[in-house]
Amino acid sequence: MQWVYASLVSAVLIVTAHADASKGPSDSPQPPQLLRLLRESRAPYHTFATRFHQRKHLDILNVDLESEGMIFFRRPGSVRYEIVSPVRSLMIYDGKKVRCYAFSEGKWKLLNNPGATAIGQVLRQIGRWIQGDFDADRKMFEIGVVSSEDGGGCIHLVPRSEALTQFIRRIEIYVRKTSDDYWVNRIIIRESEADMTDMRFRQELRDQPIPEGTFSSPEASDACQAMFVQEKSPDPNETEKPKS
Amino acid sequence: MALFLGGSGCAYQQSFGEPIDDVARRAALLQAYPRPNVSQAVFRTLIRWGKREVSLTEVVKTSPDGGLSVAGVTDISSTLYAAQIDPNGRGHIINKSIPFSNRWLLDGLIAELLIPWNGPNETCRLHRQADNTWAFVCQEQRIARVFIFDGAGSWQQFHRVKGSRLLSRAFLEWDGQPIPKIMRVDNTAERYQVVRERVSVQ
Repeated sequence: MQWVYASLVSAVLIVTAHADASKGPSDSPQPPQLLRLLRESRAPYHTFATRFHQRKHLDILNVDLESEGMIFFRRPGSVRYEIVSPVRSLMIYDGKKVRCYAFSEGKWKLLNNPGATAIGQVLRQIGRWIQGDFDADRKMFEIGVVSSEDGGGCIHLVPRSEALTQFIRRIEIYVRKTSDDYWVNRIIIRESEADMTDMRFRQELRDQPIPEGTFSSPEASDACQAMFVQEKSPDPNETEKPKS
Repeated sequence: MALFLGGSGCAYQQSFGEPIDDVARRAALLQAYPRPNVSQAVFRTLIRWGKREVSLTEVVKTSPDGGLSVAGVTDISSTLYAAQIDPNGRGHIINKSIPFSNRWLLDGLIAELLIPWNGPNETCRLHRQADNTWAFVCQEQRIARVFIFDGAGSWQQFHRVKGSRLLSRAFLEWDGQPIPKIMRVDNTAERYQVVRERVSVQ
């Protein structure tokens, strides 16, 4: 059952791509302005918390798997990535160790997940994106920026490795500008021409007190959820059309 | 009830005795478990082998022609596998990110997911067992599929047997829905266990 290492597709491949990247191009003389502005905009803040709506489109089934979740981040690299519905799962990275949990048969269960190292890579990558840090991605991806009229834009990450391209064609990170502030409000991971994962972020909280146990315990789930305003419409971005 | 029984034992001791020609009982059992009339079902799945575990979401979608599409997605939203099952039962892997053969997936993980869609049928022989349970036995070449019902006619277990060797065993927990609330599989041949909880049905 060593397949789990490979089954965590993106995670494993990102790790693989990381290894491959040392052989390939990795330099870009100047980061595009949007990347710099995004990073500078995030720099003053120590913690971030956001809710997200995730839609995984599986073309073969012509089905959308939708879920609700939240991400907590604390510098330098603690991450809590939790799906709260329709099923509950949790991945925590405290800067040293990854813990994976599943809520099964009415209780949280700590999984002895053999792919934890790869999941840790993914969580660290999420943490970097939250900070607006794409330096590490430059080794794995060709980075392009398409600016929009409102001052925001879309950051395209296209894998340099052909092996990775088989599983991830492109990642699109949408940056919105409000006054002098920049934030990521949407990430699309295109696995193929038809299959994709679309994450839309909302209610981002910065430098708010983080509940105790956020980066160590599944029991902090209720307190974490309580930080966000209850809402009727889960997705204020849902009227936006995907950009291709 | 123990989560899984006899995980390490593969010998299949069950004796079904002679088939029983109980037309009414047979019809009642078959009628009670038709193919689920749902367009889509989602499961929360926990796979355990040895001391290791992973969780994923599995989806079953039915098509108007009677075919099935299935997929498994990890908690970080990567596609573990996707497959289509023809109306005649033949399966095709569309894509997968696990280094196992298509046959392994189709006969193992996917077949176990689709147990409710592949219930007993007219070709099965009905047996009354010594413990007052009922068993439908379908012999398909070297593999026997065994559906075990309690005395009240509730479908409780499903076994796959090759000769005298138990390949896998599933325990079904029902709550009045057309698909079990929980399915627990002990695949003794491949030495893994799966717990599937029904999340939603459409």
